[in-house]
Amino acid sequence: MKKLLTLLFIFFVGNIFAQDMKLDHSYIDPAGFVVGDTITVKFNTVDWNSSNSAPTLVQYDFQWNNKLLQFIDYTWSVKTNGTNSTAQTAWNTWTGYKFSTYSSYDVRELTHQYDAWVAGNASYSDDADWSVGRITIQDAVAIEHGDAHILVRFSIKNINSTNYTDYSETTKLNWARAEDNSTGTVYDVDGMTMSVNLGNVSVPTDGGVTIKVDVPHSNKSDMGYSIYHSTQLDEEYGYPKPDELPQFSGNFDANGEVVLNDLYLDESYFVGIYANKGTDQWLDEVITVTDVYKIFQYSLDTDINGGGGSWEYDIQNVLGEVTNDGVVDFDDSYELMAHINGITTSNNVTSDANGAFNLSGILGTFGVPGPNFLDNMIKPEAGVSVFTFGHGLRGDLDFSHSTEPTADDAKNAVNVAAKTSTQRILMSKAVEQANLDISSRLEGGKVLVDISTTKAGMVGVQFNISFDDTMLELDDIIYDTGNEMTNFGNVKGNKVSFGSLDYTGGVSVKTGTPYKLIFTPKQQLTNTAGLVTFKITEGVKQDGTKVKLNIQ
Amino acid sequence: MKNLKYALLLLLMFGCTKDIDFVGPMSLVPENLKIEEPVGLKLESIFTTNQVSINVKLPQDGTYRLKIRNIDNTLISQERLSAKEGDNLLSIYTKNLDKSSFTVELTTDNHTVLGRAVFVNQ
Repeated sequence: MKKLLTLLFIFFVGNIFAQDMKLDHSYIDPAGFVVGDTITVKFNTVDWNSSNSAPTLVQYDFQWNNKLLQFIDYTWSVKTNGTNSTAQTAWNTWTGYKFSTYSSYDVRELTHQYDAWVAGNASYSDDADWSVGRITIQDAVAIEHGDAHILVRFSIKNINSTNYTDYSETTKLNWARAEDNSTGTVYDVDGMTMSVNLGNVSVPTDGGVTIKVDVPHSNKSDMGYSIYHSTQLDEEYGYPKPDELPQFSGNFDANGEVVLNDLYLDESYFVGIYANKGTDQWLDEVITVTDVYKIFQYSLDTDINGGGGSWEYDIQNVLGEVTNDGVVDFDDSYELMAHINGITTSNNVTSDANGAFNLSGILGTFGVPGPNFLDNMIKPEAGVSVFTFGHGLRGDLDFSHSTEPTADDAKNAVNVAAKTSTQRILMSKAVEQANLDISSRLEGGKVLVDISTTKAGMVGVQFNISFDDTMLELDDIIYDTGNEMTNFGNVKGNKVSFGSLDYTGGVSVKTGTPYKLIFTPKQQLTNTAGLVTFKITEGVKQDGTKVKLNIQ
Repeated sequence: MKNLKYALLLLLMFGCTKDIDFVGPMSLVPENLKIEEPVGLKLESIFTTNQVSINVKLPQDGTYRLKIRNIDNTLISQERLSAKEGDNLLSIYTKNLDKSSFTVELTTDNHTVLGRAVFVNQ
């Protein structure tokens, strides 16, 4: 018993005195919030146990619930504290991730959580409700305790349109590190206030009108909306007249939602939804080798059978028609093929160069043949205040970035009844995962990039990589994909698009090292880390299954 | 006899030479890249623009990998390199990376992790 008490004493004393600093965050506004209010969250450190901690580097991650808070902006306070005016600072954010702590440590042990994250025992995983902020501050002198590092502003969102019941955990501290770079001293940081609790937030009984867009990608904040009153529409076509301006416009939030407080009940509105490439330039990732394989399969079937009818959903007839001639055929196939080869194609192919070609409508009837195929009209009424839309991008035949219709009536009547081999290929399927080894190396004065896979049965493969063109010049792409495989490759600036596709589905890419890129350095290099980065790595199987190639 | 004279002459010359202090093995690793542990990696700075120096300290000669990962651990760049036991001064070229924060990871050729560090590309 005595030994146990001694051990417990050592444990507690050790734990207490292990802490050098605290990281705190809290709102600085007077309490008593209502939906729509702005809160300002202050982050600062506190010296602990009189340890005289003097960090010159402080870095920490936190996350906020983006269903309850809308990020507005941030201000660096550390540069105006009178000591750290020349500090280097960085603010980085990611949407759609949540931190999973390492259970062997308390969540308050922020430095231990950092160590666990670096060691791979804690991690970030997908979660659409959360966004992550990373704050980094470095200075030649110690970063002051007590004073705010940064002020981050959020507006409070209406909880009624979420699955949450209160505002008790709108933010969370994830991990922290603090070091004195001049001596190499590492400080132990614990969390003080771990999450911001807004208490009772007044929620208006009329929570406004919520418009949602239900799409399967993470770039929802790059989606925009334009709302016109029904009196602004062309009576014959039902679309806004060319000279009319939208009454309301803006971007959706990270969840694909927006709440509007100024729409009138019992009035009708037209809602147009569109995608922007944003800073992530994600529109080039919409159409991939899987879409190209599917449209070739459709065109082959249509050509042989004189009409096809192979699509699973009627709306794919619109998504696949990119040449504006009213039919999906080989012309459309070759346009999409050119796109994945890095060539700017006809104006209806969604890409970063062309922009987005949008289809949208109320989700319940999205893609259902008839007058509500793309129904853009809403009419808020008492008790009817949430409207969910589907959205599609032309060229996106596998619905990787588009809403797959939910209504049974949206399915192609022929396809529902029968299953030809082409129809089976064109049906939506779960994505398969496979490993891929891509690495660069320096050899004989050249930079070589080897791409190796053991995944068999892929009739198509696509890679998009970028390279530092101030340091490298691409000499050649070497294909070892098999004698009968059709390969493609194109260089545009510092981007290389290459791969292979047998659109008949009869031949697979050889396993081993089917692709090799050779670069000549423009400057003397010690090594190659970071010179080549990977964007799209995807394959497609004969049966139309998309294969996500995960680089090991 | 002649040989003996030369030997004495040499002895006299070196006997009068000032002693050279032995200061241990010379190290070319800058102070801010020194790694105390037997294995690991260390960045010259947490902030990078076009390029940042990195010291990779290895247990033995062999083939290793330097990986760059984003927040969800997706691998976005990878180098396979032959390196020697001890300190290896290398670079990470960051001009081709997005303006964001990344993790650089040192592994064996068989993907066993030997060290990680976080950097911010500005």
